[in-house]
Amino acid sequence: MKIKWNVFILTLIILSFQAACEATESTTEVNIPRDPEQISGDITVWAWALEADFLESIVPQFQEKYPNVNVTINKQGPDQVYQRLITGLAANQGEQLPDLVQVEETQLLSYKENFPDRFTNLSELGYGKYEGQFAPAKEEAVKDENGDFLAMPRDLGPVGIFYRKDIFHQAGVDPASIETWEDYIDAGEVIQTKTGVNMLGLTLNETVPLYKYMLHQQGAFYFDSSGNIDVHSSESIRALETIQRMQDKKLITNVTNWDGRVSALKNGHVATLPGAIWWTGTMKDQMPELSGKWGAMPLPSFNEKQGQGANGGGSNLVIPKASTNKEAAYVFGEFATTEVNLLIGGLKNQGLFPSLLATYEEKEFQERQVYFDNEAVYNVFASIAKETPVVNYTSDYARANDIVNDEIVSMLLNGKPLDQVVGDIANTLGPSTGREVNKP
Amino acid sequence: MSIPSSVQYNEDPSPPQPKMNAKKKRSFITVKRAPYLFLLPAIVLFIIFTVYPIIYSFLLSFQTNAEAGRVFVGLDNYIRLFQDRLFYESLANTFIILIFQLPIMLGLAVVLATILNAGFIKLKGFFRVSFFAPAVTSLVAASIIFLLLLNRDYGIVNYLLSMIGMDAIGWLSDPFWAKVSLILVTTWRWTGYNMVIILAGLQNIPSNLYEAASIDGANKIRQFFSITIPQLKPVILFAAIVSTIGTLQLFDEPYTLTNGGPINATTTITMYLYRNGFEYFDFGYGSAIAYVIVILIALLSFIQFKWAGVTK
Repeated sequence: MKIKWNVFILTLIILSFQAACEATESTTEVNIPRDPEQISGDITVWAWALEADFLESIVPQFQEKYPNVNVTINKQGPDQVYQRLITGLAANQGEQLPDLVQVEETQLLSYKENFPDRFTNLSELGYGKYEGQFAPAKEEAVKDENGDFLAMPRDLGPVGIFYRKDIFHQAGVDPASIETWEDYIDAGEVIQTKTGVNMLGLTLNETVPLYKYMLHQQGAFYFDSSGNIDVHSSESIRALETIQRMQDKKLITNVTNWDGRVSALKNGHVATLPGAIWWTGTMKDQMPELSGKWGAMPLPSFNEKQGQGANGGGSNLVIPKASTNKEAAYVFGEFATTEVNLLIGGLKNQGLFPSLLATYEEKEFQERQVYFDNEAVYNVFASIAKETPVVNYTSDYARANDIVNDEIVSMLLNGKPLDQVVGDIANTLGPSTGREVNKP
Repeated sequence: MSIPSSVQYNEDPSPPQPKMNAKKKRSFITVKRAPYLFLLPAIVLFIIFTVYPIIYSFLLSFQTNAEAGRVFVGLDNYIRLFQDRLFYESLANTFIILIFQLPIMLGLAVVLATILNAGFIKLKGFFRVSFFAPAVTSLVAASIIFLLLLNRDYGIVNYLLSMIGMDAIGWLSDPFWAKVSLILVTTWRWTGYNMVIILAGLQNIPSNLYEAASIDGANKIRQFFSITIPQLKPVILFAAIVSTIGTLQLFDEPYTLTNGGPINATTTITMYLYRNGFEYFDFGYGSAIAYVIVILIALLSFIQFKWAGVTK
């Protein structure tokens, strides 16, 4: 009997812990004062890598306008930001959370649905006035089901194809002739036979986003707009068939991981790189000797009608509901996402490609870059960003991405047949997410 | 006689003693309670950081995320688990690694320990430290080195293989070889640790056993199999159980080396748990996996005890 009492008391302690952990929510209305001087206090911002550097760099200008707000940028690794955000949101305590935090749009819905009602509705604070001013694919991804802003859009990762002009020239292939993926494969074959260089390298140990890009440019995704699993769609089959054909024609080399991929680019083992704009930073930084040898073009299309835009990466700023200084957090976030000059600075200094459409009209976007053989690369990617279709990432993006990736690697490494690949994605993803699968 | 003595006791010139006793009784700290008080910080921390999570994750394993928060779903998570292809794959990976890695590692550890225990070896301290060093090395640093060594295109391992005319091996990019690499790295890391445990066991074997065997004409190899191994049995069993538990919880090595890939070939059960919890936010499902691991570890340890015939 004694032992049972102990267990009982222990359970009581644990339940009281749990009760203590369920925090009370502050429901005070927030109004942003008109006068910048009226906003005051300290705010903490969590961000990683270049985004953190960008935010840090704009603090002096911010304080000129809002002299009474103190901003602390807490630069961490992305894993650390996400992990701390999970525990912070679970506890929902102000002191465990920042006032403003960087979140990618691919992760946003996961956080929103697994931690309901933990982020501030930004449209209610006045962000609604910026509606329609961002690249559509970005804007829709940061809104909730009622069309309210859940996050303030920061950078985008429009995807195009970088190619080695010298290798194309050597093989006698005119890059302008590549309009469809068919053309791309044909060009790849010529380059392969004439120079022995592979058309592209895939990181089979990490992620193979090519399929995702191909879906995205057709306006399709792993999920349809209502969240059902949509891998049986004709767009999906077409994308997989194209990748399969590249593999059959031996255009793909397995570059293992990030380092392998970078070294393959540097050593000229691959002629093209289907990738996002932020690759330009890595290229200029790690392979300066290839200056003038690179060109960029939009993704080839599947037929003339379809758009050519896809997105690979990009983040946003959200305000947790537990924040005790939402006014200051809001004005800092607004400042960081809507001031054209600052965003251009972020592009030039940190390589962060803005999603605010107004920035694309600036002269910096028309600037010809020596590294890209005097092409106006930013302009190429700005038009890709505008064309990128809206897709539904859902709250199960991370799981879907892993499962899809495994199956595509199975297809490429083990020669798993295409119909089996599609079937296995659906059969694994369906039960683990509880989502319906659209029939072929 | 007794009355005066008791009077004398009461009138003893050292009255503080009974007073002190009275004081002690009133204070909370007594000789009996003191040990518990000293233990209290440890117990409180243990309850907060171990007992509470154990019980909470047990409760979590019966819950799932719904729109309004977590709801109880009974055994749904466990049922889903037994229909989950990826769960079986990660379980199979873990057992393949266990089955190949454990005997290799323990065998090597016994051989190394025996050699380092032998009288004729010079620089014993140096060798012992060298073999033990991987266990205390930061794995992240080590795995960067391994990533470079094992790279398919420019790694030194493939370079050496090419010098003897062999084809390049995708040490990390081929599903089969990635498992081999993982087994090699785990063995590299933990052999020295087990070697030290076994070395301690070796030094407890009485030398008169070997002397008697020598007189009977048994050579060194015979002595190794007939004296060393049987005498080491409990130590080897201990090392085997600790290593089995370690392998079932294998996480750092595949996480830093291959991140579970390619095609989940190196996804261990603990990695799968981590993914479900911290990447997919499916804490309920992750907790269910954790409890299955606990049951597996208990079962395996029980079997190892039985198999080794250890009795109380």
